[in-house]
Amino acid sequence: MSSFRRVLVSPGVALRLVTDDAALGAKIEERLGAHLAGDTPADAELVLDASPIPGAKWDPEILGRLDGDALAIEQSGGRGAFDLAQRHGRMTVSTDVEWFHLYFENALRMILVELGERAGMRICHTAAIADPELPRAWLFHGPSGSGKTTSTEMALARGWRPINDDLAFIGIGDDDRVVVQGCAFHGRTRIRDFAHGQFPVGGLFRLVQSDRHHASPLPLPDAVRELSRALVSWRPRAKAEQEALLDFAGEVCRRTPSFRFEFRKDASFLEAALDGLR
Amino acid sequence: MRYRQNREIAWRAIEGEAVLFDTSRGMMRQLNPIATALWERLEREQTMGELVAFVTAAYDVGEDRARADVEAFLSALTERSLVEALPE
Repeated sequence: MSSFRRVLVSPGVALRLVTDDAALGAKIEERLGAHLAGDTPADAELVLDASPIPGAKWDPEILGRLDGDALAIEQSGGRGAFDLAQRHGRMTVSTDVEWFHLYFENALRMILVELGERAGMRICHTAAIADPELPRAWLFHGPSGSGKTTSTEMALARGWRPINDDLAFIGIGDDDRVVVQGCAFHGRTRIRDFAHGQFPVGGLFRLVQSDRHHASPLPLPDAVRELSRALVSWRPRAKAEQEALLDFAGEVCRRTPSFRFEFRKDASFLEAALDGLR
Repeated sequence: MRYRQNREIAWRAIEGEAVLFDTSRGMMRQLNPIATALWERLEREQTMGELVAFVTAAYDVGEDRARADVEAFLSALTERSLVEALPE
């Protein structure tokens, strides 16, 4: 029996994905292939079994529970467990449910978010775009519909490299600068050629669609509030965890200029955004 | 009546403005500097009179104006369950 064994590199982890199910392996390759490597050393492993689960039905929610290091994956069509300390887990994906691969992806997202957070990187609902000439990136964040996909596609058309159109990890790098790294999941664009690796962040832009281009600096409390909104979680947070998140947003915003960026959908948006930094 | 912060609210004061996160509702709020000063005092239980006295002393305003502002502040924050009203 041939085994699918590929490594997904994400902040704080090189996760080996293993399955003996050819259909599931092919689906993982199709969905995440750009982020997978075959010969990279792994420091974590997720073993995937594929079989029907009685009563399984499509449920789009990310359902799980975290108790200390024990992550329980409790979706209708995908169940299992991952030990965040041992960095090993196993889950069963129901292949008799439409969109079955999304159960796996939801579980994978939980695992990557938690391991990333333990490495000091937090997942952020943001588009991230790399400067084509400098090792530097810009983040464009805001709620769904604010323009993350649009800004990513416009940046791509201008020759910039998207890191991700919807989700990216951010953190404080070794040199005390804010850094961003893409994640394996993306939004509505059909772009697959995302830039890999970590990039220092040049600025944060809170997107607001408008009939003009205008970037105005955000006062620090406003910047922290807006960034905190973009720091998403798949699970409820206790008060202490939420305060740690506010602290994190404060650390990021103290190190990086933040702007409220009104923009209209045309190709000059990127220059207008960067004018805010000059 | 005595008032205090809802203990479930996560918050940080940043450059004199409090950013609040209501963990039960997933809502973010932000307070202006005077509201932040009142909010910080509500870490411990306060009466209306104590808050009014604080505002008159700290901001050089008359008692009537201070009382109206404190009432508006408490009304808004209790309505949003950010502040709890406790019987004497």
